[in-house]
Amino acid sequence: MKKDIVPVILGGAVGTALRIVLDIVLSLIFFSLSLVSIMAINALGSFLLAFLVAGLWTRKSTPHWVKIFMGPGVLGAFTTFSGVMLQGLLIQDMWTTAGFLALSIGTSMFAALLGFWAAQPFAQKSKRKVANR
Amino acid sequence: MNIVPLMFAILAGGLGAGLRFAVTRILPTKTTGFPWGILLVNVVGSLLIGVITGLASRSVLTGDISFVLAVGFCGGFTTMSTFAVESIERLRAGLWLIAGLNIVGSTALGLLAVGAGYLLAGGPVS
Repeated sequence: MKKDIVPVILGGAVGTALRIVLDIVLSLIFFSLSLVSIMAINALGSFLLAFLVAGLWTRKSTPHWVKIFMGPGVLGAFTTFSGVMLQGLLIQDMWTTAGFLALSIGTSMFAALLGFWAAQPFAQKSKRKVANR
Repeated sequence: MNIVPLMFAILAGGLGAGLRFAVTRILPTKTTGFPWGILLVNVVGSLLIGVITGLASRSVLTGDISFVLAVGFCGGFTTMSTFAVESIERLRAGLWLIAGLNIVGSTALGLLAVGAGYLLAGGPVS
């Protein structure tokens, strides 16, 4: 695990930087709808992770360090669960909070499902289970 | 935005990701099992972001420090993408109960944790 942690930390730093920058950009675009920003980031990250897990990473030629750099590193840190929960808390209206959480988690899961489907043409036919994400 | 807190937030995000990775290696999950590792990470991270927000609302933490800890560390530590992918994997495998418990359990515990953290830190209730 010790040698694996370095690419994850480096990837995590990259993912965090991308999330902050994209959040700023999206918040400027959707300035009156700041909740949309983190929802869009999470959906994008979920799509990409599913696409990689079910597609390119099923190929044995993909190096291990690339998988852990991109999976637990970049895409893991690019998306955030705690930020969604905090926004849900700060809404302070039970039904709006429930709707926001359902929409946030629903869009990420739908994006992940789309990622799995989109990855099918790129998947290696024999083994499709990949552990690193 | 100042560059120094931004750099520290990026560093904290990397460390958060490293810690999450360590937890998932200590609590490894088969693709057909219950994803305890990510559930634990997401609930603990939600508790932590609640505490940070509560402390920041009482001005115990400065805006820069709470930004580094909340957006940087907690953002990098917790993950929506792995949660979503693990849930969809189980749904695709027909493991509806595990997927359902993961989705509902993570959301309910995450919301409870962030609220508990906020109240524990003495955040004002309007």
